[in-house]
Formats: sequence, structure tokens, C-alpha cells
Amino acid sequence: MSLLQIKNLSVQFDTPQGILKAVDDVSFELDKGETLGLVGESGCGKTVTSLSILRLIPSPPGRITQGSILFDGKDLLKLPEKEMRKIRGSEIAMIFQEPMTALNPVFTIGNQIMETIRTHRKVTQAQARDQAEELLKVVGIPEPKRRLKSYPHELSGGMRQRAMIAIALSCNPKILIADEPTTALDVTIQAQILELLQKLQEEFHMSILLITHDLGIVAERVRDVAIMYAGKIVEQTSTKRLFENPLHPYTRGLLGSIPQFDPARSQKRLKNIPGVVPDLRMPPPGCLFSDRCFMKVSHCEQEIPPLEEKEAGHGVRCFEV
Amino acid sequence: MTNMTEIGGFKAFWRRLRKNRLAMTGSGIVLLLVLAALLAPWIAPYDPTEIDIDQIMMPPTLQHPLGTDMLGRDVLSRMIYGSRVSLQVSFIAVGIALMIGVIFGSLAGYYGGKTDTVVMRFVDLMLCFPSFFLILSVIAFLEPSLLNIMIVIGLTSWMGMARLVRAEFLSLKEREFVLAAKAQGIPDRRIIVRHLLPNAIAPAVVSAILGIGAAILTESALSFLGLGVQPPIPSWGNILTAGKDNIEIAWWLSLFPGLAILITILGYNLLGEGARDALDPRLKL
Repeated sequence: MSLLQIKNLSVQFDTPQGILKAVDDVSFELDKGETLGLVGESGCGKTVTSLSILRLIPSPPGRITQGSILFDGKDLLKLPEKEMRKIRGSEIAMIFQEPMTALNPVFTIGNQIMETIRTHRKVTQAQARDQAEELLKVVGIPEPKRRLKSYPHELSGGMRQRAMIAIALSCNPKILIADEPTTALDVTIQAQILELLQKLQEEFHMSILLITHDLGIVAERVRDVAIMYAGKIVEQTSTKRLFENPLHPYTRGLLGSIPQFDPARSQKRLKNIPGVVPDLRMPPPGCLFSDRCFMKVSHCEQEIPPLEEKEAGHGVRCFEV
Repeated sequence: MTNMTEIGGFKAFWRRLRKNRLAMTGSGIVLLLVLAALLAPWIAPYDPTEIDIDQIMMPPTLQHPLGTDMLGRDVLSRMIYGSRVSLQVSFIAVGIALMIGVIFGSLAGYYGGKTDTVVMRFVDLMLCFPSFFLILSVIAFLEPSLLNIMIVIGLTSWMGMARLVRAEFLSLKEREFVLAAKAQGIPDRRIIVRHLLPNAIAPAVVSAILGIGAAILTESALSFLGLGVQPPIPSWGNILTAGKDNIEIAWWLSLFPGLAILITILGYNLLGEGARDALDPRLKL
């Protein structure tokens, strides 16, 4: 049975220009100990989806209009706020894109780790400090005892992200939501952080929801993947199959626009997907990708294609596949 | 104004403040005043309420450096003891204002929406009163004791503080670390007190320092009008009242307390503005 099961989740925002459907009918499952990659470009609803799981959508203007989020059999959307708070940070933890802004500048790293531990566990100050030191060691921060007393601005970007991960791990969560965990870091540090996450996943038996715009990250370390476009999942399958046989024109466009270091092809211009994402406050009636699609046929612009299994375990939201 | 810790903590703040000569002058004045108030019984040459009818209205002499008043009391001693009143009133009044302002401001800023509307309209309402006349009329009804003065000044001067703290909270609560704290399951109350307040407190403290000067002025004005500290307790304001009645024959009774008030407020303003500059990372000091 899957640990986290999201069914038909829709999230709207009330804007002065009208209602914006940021997430529309999104369903996916995350199994115990597995990693799911949620991939899409900026503004496609990845972060809103992840914040919905923790029920942290700013409201107003945001609103979860339908769907359910089952975690361990409980519907998180129906839990009272107090119960929800016990789950946040303890059962489901999250790390953010920008480790500088996600850490409070006025407290030491140690303080911030200890705070999370002591919010959820009945331990003494000294026990919490020992645990915090242990966590810093686990995430690979050298001289953990000294670093406990460091302020965020005294650490490098990679170290800060490690500290963020230490905070997230502090209560041994069952699910870790990693929202673009490496986007703010440079490439070598990216690899280290991803390796660390993978190592910790095994050590802590966590499930990870990895949110990224980088297919390269997904390719190497994720079993299943869901591609989001304009608030909807457009393709959902195992990573292996996605790369071998991408079906949705958007996915194919994304894969086609990865730079290739192949001398035979280097003369060619990098491919891109023409057009822009439609304004989600005034969505077109049909498929949201139809405007940019090279496979478009006439009824694409009138009807929204359903997410269908084109082959076993491979869902695609397209008429023409 | 961003928070002080982001630009290097208290040490950096102090380093920047120390380079500002005006601010250091201000803090020197404030320090002198605090010392005078604390050490009053030891440094005052006479008992401030001791009447000496042989020495009535003596101009400044070596024996009485700032002269004596119409009851023969030593003006220097009275002023030293008067500084206690000024400090006490201003610190406690500003303390009250800071507390109310921080509580209202943080609630309004953090929760927004209806809470914000209710609190901020109440602030607007309070600001509509000409506060000095409000204080005057309240004191006229209540008995003009030290305690009442402190409370009334405090209750009428928190609005600016509330606005400042609210503004800080409005921008701070959008920061990602607040979201991160929520994602860690930390309760609202704790987020406000532990995560936001330390980031928002700096401008409130600056405004409090400036507010102390204003509170001293208000207290002196009240005492001058006879609605403040009651004789025989000495206060700069009521020494000034005595001076007003005798200004043609005893200039020292008006000049010295007037100067004391002026210099003290100047000191607080210099310190307050220095602190504000030292907390502003955009100014390279």
C-alpha cells in the first residue's frame, strides 16, 4: 500500500483578475521508501502541490477545492489544524529551494534543529543538543559541535542546505518533500546534496517527493516520475520508461531541449518548445498545451484530454498518442 | 530597515554606532543622566527638600552651584533628584508603549485580514486624539501621581510602535523561513515570538529610544502645568514652574532645568538616530 496517496487534488487562487487553477485534478502515489519525481517548469504547480500536502497554502487567496490527500490512511485535508501541526516536521518534512531564506537569520543552526526536535519530542535541552549534533554529523557537516553555534550567514550554500536537511530529518519523518533542493546550488554541490539525500533515504527509510525542473536529476535517482504542465499532470510513469519512450509532446519537447554534447549534433541549434504557458486565469477550453503542440489536431482546442493509461503503468494526457 | 543580525549582529551594530560621533555624544549624555539618577543620594550636595530660609533665591555660588529656589532649596540637588523622576517616568511609560505596540503590531501584521483591520483602525482612532490634551484630561480626573502619569503616557504613545512592528511583520511573514518554520510544525505563537519578533524588534527599539525623549518632555510639561509630579517631590518640570514665577529675579531657576530638559532630549534623539543609522545596512558607516 502506498504511504501517500493524492487523489484528484485541485487548488485555486483568487486573484484580482479571476480564479487561477494552480493545481488541477492531480493524483499520484508515493510508496514507502520510494522516490517520486515531480517535474515541470516554473509556475506549473509543483510547489503548490507540495505545500498542499502540508496544508500550507496561504489562505486566502488559496483554496483546496477538491481531492483528498491520504497519508497512512488519514485524509490530511480533513484533519484539525492541531493534528496537522503534529504531522508537519515530524511525519512529513520539507526542504526548500533557497537555503539562505529558509533558515532564520537570527538563530544558530543548532537552535533551529533543536527547536524542531523539541516541538515534536519530549526531550531535554541537552538531549536535543546531542541529537542536533548527531544530525549535523549525519548530513556531513564537519565539526558538528562548533557548527551548532553557527548562524546561517556563516555557512556556505551547500552547508546551509545540509543544515536544512538536518532540520527536516530531526524527527525522522516518513516523507521528505524536497522542493527544488539543489536549484540554488552550483553543480558539484548539487551532486553531493543529491547523493546525500539518497544515502539518507536508505538510512532513515524515508519516501521522498522530489520536486524539480531538471530532468537530469530525475533520470539518475528517481523510480517514478510525473510531469506537470500548467497545473495538470500530463505524463506519469516510471523514469526508465519515460526516457525510453516519452509519449506526451510536452515531455518530448522537454527531452529534446536538453543540450547534447555530441559533436555530430553540435552544429544544430538547441531545440526549444515554441510559445508560452497559457494564462491560467483565462485557460483555453481545450488542452492547455495545444497552443504549443506540434501534434495538434482540431479537437485539441475544444476538449481537455483525460489522463489515460496508454500502456500499463504509463499515463498520458493527450488525444493523439 | 532590515534586521540587525543579518548584517553581523550586535557587535557590528556597536562598531557602526561607535563611529558615529553624534550618537556617542548622545549616549554619553544618556549615560550621565542615568548615573546621576542612580547615584542621586550620594552625589547631591544637599537634601532636595530641605528648606533653608537664610538662603532664599541665592544666585549660583560655590556653595550652591546652581543657586537656590524661593524656599532656599538647592537647585542642583533638586535637579539631580528630578532626573530620577524623568528617567523613571520615561522608561516605564515607553516600556508600556513598547509592550502594547509590539503585541498589537505583531498580531495585526502576522494574522492580517480582520485582525489587522480592527487593530489598525483602533490605532488610527487613538492617533486622532491630540494626545497631550487627552493626557491632561485623564490626569485631571485621576489623581496626578507618578504611577498615573507613567501609565497614561504609555497608553497614549504606543501607536507608532504598533505601526512599525506591523510593517516589519508584513514583510517578514512572507519570508521563506516562516514557511519553513510552519512546515516544521512550529505553532503560530512560537513563530511570532521566536522567529519574527527578534527580526522585527530593531526598529521598535530605535523608536523606543526616541520615544523616551518625548516622554521626558511630556512629563516635564505636565509637571510644569502642575498636573505632573507634585511638590515637594522635585521634577524638572516643577522647578521650571517655580522659575516662571520668578523669572525676572531668579533666572537660574528657569535656565538650568530648561537646559537639562533640552540636553537630555537632544541626547536621546542623537542616540536614537545613531542607532537607526547603525541598523540600516544601506548606509555604509
